[in-house]
Amino acid sequence: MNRPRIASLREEQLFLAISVIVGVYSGLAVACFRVAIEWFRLRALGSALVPAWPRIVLVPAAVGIAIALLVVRFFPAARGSGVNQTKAALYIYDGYIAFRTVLGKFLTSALAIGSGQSLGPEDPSLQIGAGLASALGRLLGLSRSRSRYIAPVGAAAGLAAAFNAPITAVLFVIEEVIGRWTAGVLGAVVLAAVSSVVTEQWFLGDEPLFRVPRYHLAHSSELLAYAALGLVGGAVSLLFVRLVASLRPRLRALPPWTWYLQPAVAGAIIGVVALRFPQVMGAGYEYIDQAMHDQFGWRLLAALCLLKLSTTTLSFVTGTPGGLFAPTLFMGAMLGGAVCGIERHIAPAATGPIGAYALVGMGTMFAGILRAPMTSVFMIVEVSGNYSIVLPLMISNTIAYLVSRRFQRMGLFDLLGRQDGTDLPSMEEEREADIHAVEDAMRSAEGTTLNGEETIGRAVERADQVSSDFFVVNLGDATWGGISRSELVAIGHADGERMLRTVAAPIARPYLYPDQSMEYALRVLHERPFVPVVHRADASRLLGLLALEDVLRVYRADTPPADLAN
Amino acid sequence: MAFGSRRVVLGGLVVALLPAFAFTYLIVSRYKDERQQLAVEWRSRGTVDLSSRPAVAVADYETALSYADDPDDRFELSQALVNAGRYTEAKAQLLTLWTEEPGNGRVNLQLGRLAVHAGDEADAVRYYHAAIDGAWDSGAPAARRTARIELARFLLHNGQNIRAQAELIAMIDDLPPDAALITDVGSLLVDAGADARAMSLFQRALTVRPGYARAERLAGGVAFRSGNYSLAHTYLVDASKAEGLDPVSEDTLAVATQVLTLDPTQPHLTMRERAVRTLACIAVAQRRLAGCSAAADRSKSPDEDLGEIKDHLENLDKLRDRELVRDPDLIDTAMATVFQVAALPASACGPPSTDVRALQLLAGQRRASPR
Repeated sequence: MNRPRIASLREEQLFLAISVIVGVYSGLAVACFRVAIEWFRLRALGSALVPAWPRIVLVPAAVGIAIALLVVRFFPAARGSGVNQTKAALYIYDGYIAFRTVLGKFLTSALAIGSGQSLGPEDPSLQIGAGLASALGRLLGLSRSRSRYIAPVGAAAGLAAAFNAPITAVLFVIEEVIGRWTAGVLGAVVLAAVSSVVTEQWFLGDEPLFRVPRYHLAHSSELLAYAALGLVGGAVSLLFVRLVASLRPRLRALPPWTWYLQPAVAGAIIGVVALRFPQVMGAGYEYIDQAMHDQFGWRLLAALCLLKLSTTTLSFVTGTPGGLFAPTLFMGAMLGGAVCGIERHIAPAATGPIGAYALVGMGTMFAGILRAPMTSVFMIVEVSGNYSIVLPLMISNTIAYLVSRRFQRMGLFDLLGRQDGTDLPSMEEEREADIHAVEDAMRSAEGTTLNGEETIGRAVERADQVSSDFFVVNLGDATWGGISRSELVAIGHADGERMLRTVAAPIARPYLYPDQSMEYALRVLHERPFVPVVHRADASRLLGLLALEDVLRVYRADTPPADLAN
Repeated sequence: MAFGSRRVVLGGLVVALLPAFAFTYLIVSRYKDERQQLAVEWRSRGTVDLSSRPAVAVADYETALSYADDPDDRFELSQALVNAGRYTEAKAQLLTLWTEEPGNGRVNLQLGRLAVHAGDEADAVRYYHAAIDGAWDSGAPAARRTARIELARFLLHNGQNIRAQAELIAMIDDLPPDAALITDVGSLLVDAGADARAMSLFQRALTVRPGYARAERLAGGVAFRSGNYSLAHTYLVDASKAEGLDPVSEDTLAVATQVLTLDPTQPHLTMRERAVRTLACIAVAQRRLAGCSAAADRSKSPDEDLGEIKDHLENLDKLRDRELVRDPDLIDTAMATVFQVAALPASACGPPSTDVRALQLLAGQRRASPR
């Protein structure tokens, strides 16, 4: 084994070992973060589930001022959810997230969520994990490429610990942050996620986020109700994304002194709403649990969905640090419950338990707002531990995702990134982008194919009938050769009776298959004038030819990507 | 960074995990203790508020649950919700417990009660049966009996007498020597139409607790309905001596007393006593017939029928006890006319008096076992 290879192996092993350590540190940090939120909530709002009214109104407003001071003065990178900051670390800053940002995120998010701002702890946990990983990566002097990926690894660890769901975290980070499934990165992400969940569970137990009731499909026609939930969920997601997208830049455009007041104003409004609907405060997991166990009427559920939408919008657009995952799940649970309540009036016999609708609603809103359709399905399955919910979940999530995408091309995080002036790659757009294949560009080989077993004289006669300057020759044994018209004619004059295969130069492998990507084709083409495109099951069957100008022709014909920001 | 120095840093990070774990353990332990303490505090508040301020108790228990998911708190929360009239939410809470422990007797019993409240017979039967067959932390036999009795009451209320009987019969053998409980079950059997089984239970209750007035009263009623007026009289008199009677039982006792006083066919009587009783019956019939005249116009009975009975009765009026003693067949003839009068409908003759009702019962007995 040579030295560079050994070094590379060591780097790889080191990266995996660091991933485990990152996971453990993230698990510890998230456990402390959760305790900090609760500790502050108890001090600020008291121990009652529904705090006394002066506290409800005053605490979020007063703490809002403190949060604004901290964010504007000391921790500007702690604003918002943290997902884009992690993406920016990966794509812009070579994996760098300042440790100060970790501290700021921890402190300000704990204050915000603990004081009742309508935000959740998951996205901050993701950023805390990413920041810790970044710091550890720097401490260990990782190479630039490894440093870049250590932040998403930490993000997966943070999110896994916050959700108590490693699969969800791995999927989300791969689907939304990294965007690729390379073995090395996947291994590191999985190790970090698992070790963080194990650590977090060691301290806080393995209780799931919600106690999920038993699920069964009451009747196959119930799937229609789930489809309706998908439609409504898509519409509500759209409303939320549009509200955030339109209000956030307007508030940011206000004079800077207003930034100190915005979280406080949001807090005060949330406090007033909470006088009548205390459920809108904080992450609201206990109320998701109650909704899943049929403890609210459908009207209240619908109201809570819309109120949470409004209060979360307020908290988020004012720059208050905190996450969108929990509010998204809250809205989804309430919406699902409301749809179930309506369904009960219409077809009581064909309506399953409300818990199932709430669960599917959560996935639906996750797919609609965060645009992570795979994560949304696996998250609910992982959280519920119920595989049988997959069918309605997939129907509803897909519809919500399609509705949201149809009317709002850019996902929320991509949109926020653009608003912040960072052009981060959109994983969704990359998934949706048309990938050109060889078959889109290859030219027909008809008339340019000669048989190596025929004489050169006969080949010249056939070549005279077409205008091509170059010919592909079947040399037998699934091998192809090439010969130019001038060569063919010259040799034909000299010795017309020779077999063509004796003079045609074999074309070096690899050949191309029609389904292969254009990127791969370009690498295969390299310096060659053209490459045969053959059948996958029978390489002696020529389907076409691909030359560099064919590839360019296709790309030239393509419309350039629209500026999605416009 | 060289691999060696990286190894040192890595080792340092691993070592640093120890204080990090210790720190996290410390704060998480304190956090858990605080939550546990808050749960206890809010649970105590809930216990205090449960009966007097159920709405407040609901909030108390909900808060307690937010700190520690204790099934007992959830159960108490469901009680508070029931007390506050929030039945749907109470059911939801109980269903949460039921999902986690479908065989919990206490939860099933509460769900059964809620189903009864909602009038859902199928659910009520299902949950009550699950409660009867379910697991109980303590006092299982008593709790199961309670569940079965409640179920029987609900079935009786819904007119499902046979199913109620089945439930009650199923528990007879396991009843403890508790006179009140045995009598309760007997009373339900009476309602379910199983008088014979009820009577045996009342007698069992009286064996356990002699002189237990309620059992005597109910036994008297059963004996009366079964035509054993002597036994009915005995039980009812005993009950009356013990603690007095309710108006219905008093009336029953009066009728039974009259039956025993008027019945000329009782085997222990001398011929003279039979004759005297027959004459008393004739007197009752005459009074009844006199009452009938006033309502005769409204009666649909043909006048000639009433007239014929009158003629017969006038003939009987001439009878003396000596003649009856001499010719016992006359007693049968006279009593046949008396029973004809007693059978005249209330619409024609007004509501029957106690002695007329006694005659009606005697007539019934005669029809059931003609000589």
